[in-house]
Amino acid sequence: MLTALLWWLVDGRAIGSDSLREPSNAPIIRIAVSQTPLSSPFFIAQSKRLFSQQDLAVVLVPCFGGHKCMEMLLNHEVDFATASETVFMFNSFTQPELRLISSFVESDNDVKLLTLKGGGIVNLTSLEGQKVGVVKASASEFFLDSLLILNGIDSSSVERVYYKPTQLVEALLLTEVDAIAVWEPYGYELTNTVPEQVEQLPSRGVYNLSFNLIGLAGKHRKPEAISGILAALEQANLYLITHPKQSQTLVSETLGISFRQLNWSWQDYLFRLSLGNSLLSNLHTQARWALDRQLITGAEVPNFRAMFLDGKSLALLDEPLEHK
Amino acid sequence: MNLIISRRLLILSLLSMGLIFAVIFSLFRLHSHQTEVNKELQHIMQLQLNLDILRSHLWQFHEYEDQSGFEQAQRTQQALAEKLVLTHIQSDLQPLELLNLQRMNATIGALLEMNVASSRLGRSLEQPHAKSMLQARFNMTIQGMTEDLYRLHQQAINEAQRVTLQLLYLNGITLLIIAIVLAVFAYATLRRFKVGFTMLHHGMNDLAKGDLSSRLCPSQKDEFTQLAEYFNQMKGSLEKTTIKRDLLQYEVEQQTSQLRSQHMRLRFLAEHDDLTGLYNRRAFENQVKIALARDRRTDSMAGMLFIDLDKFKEINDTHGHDVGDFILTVTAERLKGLIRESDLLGRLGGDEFVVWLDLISKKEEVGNKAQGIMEALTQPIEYLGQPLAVGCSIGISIFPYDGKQFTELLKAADQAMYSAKPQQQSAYCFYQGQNLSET
Repeated sequence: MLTALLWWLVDGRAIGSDSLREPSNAPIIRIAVSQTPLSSPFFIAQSKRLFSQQDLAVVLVPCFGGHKCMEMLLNHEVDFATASETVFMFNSFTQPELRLISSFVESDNDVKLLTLKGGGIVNLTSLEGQKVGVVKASASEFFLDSLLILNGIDSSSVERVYYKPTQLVEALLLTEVDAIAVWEPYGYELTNTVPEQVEQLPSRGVYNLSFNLIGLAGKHRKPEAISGILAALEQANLYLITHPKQSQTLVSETLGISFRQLNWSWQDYLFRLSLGNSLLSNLHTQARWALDRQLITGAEVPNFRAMFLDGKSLALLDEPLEHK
Repeated sequence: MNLIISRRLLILSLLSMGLIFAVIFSLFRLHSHQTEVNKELQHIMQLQLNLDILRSHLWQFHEYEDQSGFEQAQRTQQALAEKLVLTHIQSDLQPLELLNLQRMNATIGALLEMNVASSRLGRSLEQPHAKSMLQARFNMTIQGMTEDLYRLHQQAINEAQRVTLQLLYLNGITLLIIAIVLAVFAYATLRRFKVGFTMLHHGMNDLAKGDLSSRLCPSQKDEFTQLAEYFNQMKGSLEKTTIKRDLLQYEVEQQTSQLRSQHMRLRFLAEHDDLTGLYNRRAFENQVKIALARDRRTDSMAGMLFIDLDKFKEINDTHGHDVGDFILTVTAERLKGLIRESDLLGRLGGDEFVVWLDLISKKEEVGNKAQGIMEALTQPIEYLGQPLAVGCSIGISIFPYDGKQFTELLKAADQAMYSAKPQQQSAYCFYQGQNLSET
């Protein structure tokens, strides 16, 4: 504790500290941030002025869904964007200038296969011949396919119906489909609408969602800016772990959702910066799946390794990491 | 803070003991911490080994797809799960990586279960890419676990460093504070000792110089105050004793002086006549003997006058003893007025006076003196307005002619006086052997 206090005093990076430096004429960095609890590190960093401490003038541009955020990045409306690795994977086929800087949160339970009790689906094998609502070419579809493949169920035996993410819950409630593969917060929405009627089919371990900071090659020549953002995110993650209640309150206020809703999936999130082989392997698997499913045509699996920002930025974080 | 010195010394020894205990305790804590860290790191290494075995068994399972491979992989996964549950990392925070490792290990378990369940149902993973997807999931998860284990390792090391540093700071600060308090306290006690000793030193120095009146005034309250009080009491007693001795000495001196006065007085009384204050016979004799010895040494001449008052007895009988005493007193006074300092004057008793005329050069000087005495003594003495007249007869003997010893000279003068007595009026007479010369 004493050491932490000393660091706090010497480093001047105390979270929540009011003695913060204002960025001096730093160029404004715009980050498209998906309005989901997965983006919590950004909300915390902004609220606690952790970017300012890094001498960065960061503006968070709200966007709804990783696809939308990615679009803003590719349109050069923003400098960085947040999106799931699935969104990154799909776009990387056509946008080789994309760079995955770092994953900042992971969850192995964000995408769920939900059904309504009494609907005839009691386990995964009973999915055969049923209709499952998914979002086309998304984590939702990849999750469903993985689940089916890994359980030895023929994909063609399940009828998939494509919806927009916002339509999935309604489709299930209207019994247009028998199950839906959906990510948060729609899982909560469904459970909240028809409590005690929702059944989650066992799917842990099938899919690991990550949310990532994505940029464009050559967009930011100065690695200090990226290092600054990562350092701020690292501190924000630390705050998220050490102050879960305050963090949830802050995020729920930012997103305009209830504390209860946020708390619903909070335990599933693993907030940390990462850019490892696990993510690389995940991207490869998903890319091969996308090609197999012919969601992408006439292309090869991109060289994701080259699209990872070199390890220097994360290496720069080694020192602050040790402050934990 | 008026802590008396013995209490201060007690506190000092307690502080020293505290310092010793603090040192022992901090060393013990560091040792315990180091032991704990070693255990943690060894445990993590065990986890890494288990993970490698799991990776190997999963590969085997993937390659051979047999029951044995599955069982091996499952056993290893369960063993790792048990080890993860037993893993304990010293940290203020819940080790996130550890939770994630447990989660991912459970994922491996779930994937294995999924595989075996589908096999039981007769659904082998025959679909294209199904095997590779499972392998990819295994790989992904194992990779994630490897990364998390590395992070856990790093976190354990960081935490160990942090705690070590914290312990060092804490122990260092604690020891420093105790040492500073000890040093300050010891210095303050030393100051107190110095003040006390200086006070006593000055007090003793003053006493050695004989100063009994000054007293020690302690500026602080401690054992030295008590010593100073005893010292002051001792000095007070010493002062009183010295005053008594001085008084005693004074008294002794007074007594001695009185005794000396009394002795002088007694001696005077023993040597002098009560009435006239002249030498009595014995004293006169002693004085003349001394003079004779001197005269013999110097071959000097001396004369002895034996004076007897005439008509004294009649006056005494007629007018009373008081008048007789008055006559004798006046006569003595007149004689005193006539002799030199070197001469001696005595009263042999009654109306008989003797005069020793020392250091005379010739016999005539004695005659002249006798003549002067005679004239003086025959002057009337006025008593209560009444003139009283006495005469005198003077017998003279000369040393060394008429005798060499006092007795001889006195006898010779007495005889000469008797020779002068028969005269009708006052007269003096030299001793002439058997033939007396009258004047």
